[in-house]
Amino acid sequence: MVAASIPPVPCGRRANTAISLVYVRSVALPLLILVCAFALPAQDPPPAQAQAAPPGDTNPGGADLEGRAIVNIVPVPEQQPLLQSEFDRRLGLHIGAPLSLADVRAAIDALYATGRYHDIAVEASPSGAGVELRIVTEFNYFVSGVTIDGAADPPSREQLRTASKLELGALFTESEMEPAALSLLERLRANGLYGAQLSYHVDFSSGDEEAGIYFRISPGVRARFDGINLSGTPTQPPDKLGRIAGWRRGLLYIPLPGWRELTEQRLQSGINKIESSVQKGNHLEAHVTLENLNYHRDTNRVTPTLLVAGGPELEVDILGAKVSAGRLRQLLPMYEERAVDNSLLLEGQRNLIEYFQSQGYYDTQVSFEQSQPAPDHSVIAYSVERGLRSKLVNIEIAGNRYFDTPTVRERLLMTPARFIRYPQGRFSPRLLQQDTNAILDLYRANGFHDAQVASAKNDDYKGKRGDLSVTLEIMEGPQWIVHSLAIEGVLPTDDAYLRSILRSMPGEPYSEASIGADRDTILNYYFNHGFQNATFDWTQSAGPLATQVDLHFVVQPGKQEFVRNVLVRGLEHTRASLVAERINLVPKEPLSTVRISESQQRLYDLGVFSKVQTAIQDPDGDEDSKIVLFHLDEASRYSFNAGVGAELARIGGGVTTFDAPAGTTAFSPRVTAGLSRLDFLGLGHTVSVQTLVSTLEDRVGVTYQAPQLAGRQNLSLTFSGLFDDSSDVRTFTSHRLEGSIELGQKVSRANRIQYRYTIRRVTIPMDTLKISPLLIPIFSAPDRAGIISMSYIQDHRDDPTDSKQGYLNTVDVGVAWKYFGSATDYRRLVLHNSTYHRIGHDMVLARSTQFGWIDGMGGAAIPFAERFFAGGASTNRAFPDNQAGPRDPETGFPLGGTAFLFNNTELRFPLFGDNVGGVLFHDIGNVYQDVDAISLHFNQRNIQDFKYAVNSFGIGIRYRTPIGPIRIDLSLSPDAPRFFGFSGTRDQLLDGTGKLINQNINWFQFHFSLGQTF
Amino acid sequence: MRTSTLAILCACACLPGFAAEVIDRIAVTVDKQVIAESDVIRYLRVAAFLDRKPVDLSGASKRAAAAALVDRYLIIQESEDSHFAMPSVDDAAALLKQVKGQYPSEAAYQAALKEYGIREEDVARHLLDGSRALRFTDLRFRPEVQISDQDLAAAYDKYAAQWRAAHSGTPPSLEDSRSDLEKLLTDQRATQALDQWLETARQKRSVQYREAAFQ
Repeated sequence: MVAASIPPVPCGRRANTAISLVYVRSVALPLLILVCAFALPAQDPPPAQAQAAPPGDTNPGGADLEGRAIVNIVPVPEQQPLLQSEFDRRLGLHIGAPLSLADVRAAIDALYATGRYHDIAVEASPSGAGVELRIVTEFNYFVSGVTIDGAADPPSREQLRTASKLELGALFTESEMEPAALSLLERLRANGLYGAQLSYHVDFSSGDEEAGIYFRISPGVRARFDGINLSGTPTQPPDKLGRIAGWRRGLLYIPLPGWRELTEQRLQSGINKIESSVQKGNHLEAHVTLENLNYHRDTNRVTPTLLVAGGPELEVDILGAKVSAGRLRQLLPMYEERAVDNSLLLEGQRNLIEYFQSQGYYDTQVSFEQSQPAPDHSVIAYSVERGLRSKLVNIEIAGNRYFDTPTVRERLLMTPARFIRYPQGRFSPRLLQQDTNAILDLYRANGFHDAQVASAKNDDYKGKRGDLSVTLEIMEGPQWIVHSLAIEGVLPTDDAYLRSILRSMPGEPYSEASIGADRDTILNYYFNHGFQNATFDWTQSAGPLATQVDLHFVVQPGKQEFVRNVLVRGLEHTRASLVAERINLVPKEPLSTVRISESQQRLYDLGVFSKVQTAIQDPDGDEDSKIVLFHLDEASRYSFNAGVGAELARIGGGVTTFDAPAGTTAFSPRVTAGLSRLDFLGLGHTVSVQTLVSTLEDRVGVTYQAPQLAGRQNLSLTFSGLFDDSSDVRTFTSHRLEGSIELGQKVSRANRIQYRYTIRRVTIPMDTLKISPLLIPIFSAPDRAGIISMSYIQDHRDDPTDSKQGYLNTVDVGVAWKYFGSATDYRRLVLHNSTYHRIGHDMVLARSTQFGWIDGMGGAAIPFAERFFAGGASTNRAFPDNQAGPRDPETGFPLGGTAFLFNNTELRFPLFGDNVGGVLFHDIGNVYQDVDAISLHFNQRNIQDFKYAVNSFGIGIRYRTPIGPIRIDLSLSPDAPRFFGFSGTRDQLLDGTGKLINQNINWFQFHFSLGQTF
Repeated sequence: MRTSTLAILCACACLPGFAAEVIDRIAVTVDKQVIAESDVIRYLRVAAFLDRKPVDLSGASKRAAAAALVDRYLIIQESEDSHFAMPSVDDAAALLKQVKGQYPSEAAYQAALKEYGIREEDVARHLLDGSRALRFTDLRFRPEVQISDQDLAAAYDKYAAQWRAAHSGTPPSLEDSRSDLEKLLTDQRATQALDQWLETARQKRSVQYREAAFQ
C-alpha cells in the first residue's frame, strides 16, 4: 500500500489516513466540515489554546439581552410596505414578551417572504430592565411601468418595451437598467438609428414601492442604404438586386434615384426577396445570407454585404398523372421550405396521395426517386398510380343506440358525393381514421369507455364498380356511470355551489372529458376568489356495480389573496375617473384574475388605449394582499381615413330631364374621407367628421359619441349632425340638414333599445323635381321634421354578417309632432323579422319580412323627404334601388309611399369549396300609396296599377370574406311594373304638350354588393 | 439609492446614546430563502467546535461561511427535489455520538458546547446537513464518474514520483495502489462535478449578499 506516506494530510491530523482523503479539494465547505467530523474520533484531545478567542461576544449579539421583556418595538422607517396588521402578525414579537433570538430569526424570515423587503436588521438596546427593538428595513421596489418617449417608429414603443425586459410588477433592481438601455440601443440601431441617444431615469415612489422607469430617446436621422456588396455566386448586378429588395427608392414600379431608409423589417424582407429571385428557375436550394452590415458614420449610410449561394436546378416530374404547376407548389413542401431532404420528399408523397384521394382515387400509390444527371441539375420524379376512380356514395352508420344517426353523422368529415361541391365525395384513409376517432371521442365522453368502431369499405356498392360505400359499425359497450362523488378540501358552502355546476355528478356518465371540465370549473372558481395557487387532483375507485365509479376530487385551495390597492399608470390625457369606473377591483376583496381580465377588456373597449397591461405587483411574494397594476398606453388621439370606390347600378339618367325614370346603368365614383378625435377632453368620447363626395351624393357628417356613458357598460350617447345633398332617388334632389341625439341601451346580450330625437330640414329644388306640376305643391314644400323615436332590436343570430341560424326582430316607432319642432305631424312604424334555419349540414333557409307605415296625423300629406322609397338589393331585387311603389302618372318617376311590405326568402347553400356559396331567392312586396293599398295580388292590372306585390326570382353567388360575403344577384321578375313615362322638356310638361310613352322596369336586374341580403 | 438608505438607517441606529446593537440581520438571500447573520455565526461556531479551533468571526471568515451555507442550501434543495434517500435524524445522532465520544465525560462535552456558545441541536443539525450534502454528492455525481486504466496509470505515475521524492526505496506497485487510487480519482471527479453543478446553480438563482453582515 502507498497509503502510509503519500503526501501529508491537509489538516495535519491523521498521517495514516486513507489516500482518498488526501487530495480531495472540496470547495464545498459542508463536505470539509463533515470530513473533519469523521476524522475527529481518532484525534488527540484539543489543545487548550484552541479556544482562545471567546466565541460568544461578537455581533450579532443579543445573548445578554435574550429573555428580557420587550418594552417597545419601533419599525424603521415608520411607514412599512405591509398593512399594519400583516406586519404585526408576521413579526410575531410582542411588547411584554421575553426577547427570543429564535423568534427574531423567524421574524426576519416571515417578513422577507413577503417579497416587500430588500434588507432587514433587528436592533436591540436595553431600556430599563427590558429591551427596545428596532426593525430596520429597506424596501424592495417594483416596476410600475416603462415609459418610452421620443421613439421613432420603427421600432415601436412596444418593441422597445419588450426589448427592455423590464416586466410590469416585477422586482426592480438597478443592475437591470444598463442591460435594458443597451438592448434598446441595439433595437434602435437595427432599425437604422445609429445616432440615437438614450437617457433614462427611475422614479421611486415609497407609498406603493413603485419604480417608474422612463426612457428618453433622441432617435437622430435614420440611416439609408447606399448599395449592396455581393459575394458568392450572384447572377444579377447589385443595382438590380437593390431594386428587387426594395432598398432603392421607387414609386410602384417606377424606379427613382436614391436609396430607402434602413429598417429591420425592410432589411429582412429585402433579403427574402433577393433569395426568392435567385431561387427562380427551380434553384430551390439557393440562399442568400447577410454577412455584415457596414455603417458609414460620415455619410450615415449602410452597405449590406450578402453572400449569394446558388443551388442546382431542381426538376420535379410527376409520372402517371397530371398536376398543374400551381397545385404542385401547394402540395410539395420543398417549394415553401426552399430545401430538399428526405422528410420533405416523404411529406410531398403523402400530400400527393391525399390530393389524388380527394379526387376519388382512393387507392393511389405514389413513390419517388431522386437523381442528379448533372452536378447542377437534380431530378425528383414522383410516380403516381392512381388506380380506379371511385365516388363515395354512401356512409352507413350501424350499431348506434345511445346516439341517433344524425348526431353521429354531424361528426363526420367524410362526405358522400354531391352535385357541384363534392362530385367525388370526400374520402381518404386519413379522413376515415379521423371520423372513427371522432365517434370514439363522442362515446367515451359519455361514459362508453369500451366503445369500438369498425369500418368496412365496399367499392362495388349496389353492383356499380367505383361506387364506394363505407360502413361504420359501432359497438357501444356498457355505459359507465358515476356512483358517488366526494369533494375533499372545499368549504361546505363551496361544496354545495360546486356540485350545482359540476358535470361528474352521481348518475351522470363517467368520462375523463367531464372530469377535465370539472377540474377547470373548480380551479376557475377558486382563482376567481383569490386562491391563485389552488390545485386539483382526482382518483377513482370501483363502485358497487361493475359499470359504476366512485370519484374522489381533492382540492387544495391554498392561500387566499386579496386586493390591497389598484394602481393605474401611464395616463396623460385621459381622466383617471374614466379609468377607475372601468376597473372592477375593490381593495380588501378577493383577488380575481377574471376581474382583472374583465377590467382590461373594458378599458380596451373605450377605444382610447393602444395597450392595456395588467400585472400583480410581486406575484411570487407571500403577502396576504396584493397591489394590482394597470399600465395604459394612450392611442394616437387623431385618426384619419380615406377611401375611393364606385357604384355600378341603374342609377343613371338625366338630372333635369325626364328620360329613363327607371334608371340607366351608370357608374358613380365616390371618395370618402374622415377625421376622428379620440378621447375628447380625456373622457373617452370621440368626435368625428366624415365626408362623402360622389356623383349621387355629397355628405358631411359630424358625430360625437360617448360610449359607456357615465361608466355604464350598457349605455351610450351619440350626437350627430348631417348635411346631405343627395339624388339617390331619381325623382328629385334633396338638401338635408339634420341633427339627432340618441341614447343606446344594451338590455342584454341580445336585446338593445335606442331612444332618439331627430330634427331635420329637407328642401327640394323645384328644378330637380320630375313629377307632375299638380303634385308639386303637395310633396315639394320645404319640410321640417322633429321626431322622437325608439327602436327595439332583438338579435339572436349566430353570426350577424352571415347568419346560419337564429332570428332578428326590430321594431321602430316614432312620432313627429309640432311640439317637437315638426312642420308635419305624423306617426311612423317599421317592423322587421328575419329567421334562419339550417337544413341538413350546410344549407340555410333564410327569410325576412319588413313592414313600414307612416300615418299623417289629421290627414296631413307626407312630404317626399319622409316617404318610403325602397326596392333594390335589400328589399326587392325586382327593382333597381328606390324604384318600387307608386309612380308619377305623367313622368313615371317614383313617388314613394306611406307603407311598404316586403318578404324575402333565400336558400343558401355551398357551391365550391368552403368560400363560394350559392343562393336561390324569391322576393315579393312593394311600396304602397298607403296602408290600405297593401295587396298581395301579384299581377299589374293596368299600366297605372302599382298596388300589387311584385315577385322576383333569382340566383346569386356569395364569396366569403372576413368582412362578410361579397354578393352578386341576378333576378327575374316577369311582372315588373309597366308605367307611363314622359318624352319632352320641363316646359312641355308644364304646358301639357309632351308625349306619354310606355316604359317598364326591366325583367332582369343585377345587384352587386357586400353582405348577405338580410 | 439602497446603499445610501441603509447607510442612513444604520447611522441613525449608531448615534451616541442609542446603544443599540444588531441582534440579527439578513446576511445573504437565495431567491426567497434567508440566511441570517446568526446562521453564519452559528455555522462558524459549530465548525470551530468540531475542529477544536478558535472561532474566527472575521468578515472574510463569515463570507466564506455564508458561501458554504448557500451551497448547502442549494444542495439540500436539489436533493429534496430529486427525491434521493437522504440521511435521517437518526443517522445524524450516530455522528453526534461519535463527536461526544471524543470527550471524557458528558460534563466536559457540555462545557465545550457552552464555551462555543452553541447547543447540542446546533451540532446535530450541522452534522445532518453535512451528511445530506455528502449523500447527495455520492448519489448524484459519483455514479457518473468513469476511471479508465490510462487515468489510473497517469495518477500512479504522478503520486509515485511524489513518493520517491519524499522516500527512499521503491513505491508500492500500481496494482497494490489501484483501489486507493480509484477512490481518490473518483472523489476528485465527483467533487469537480459538484463544483460545476454548484456554479451553475448559483447562476440560476438570485444570490445576494448584504455587505453590512460581513463588516
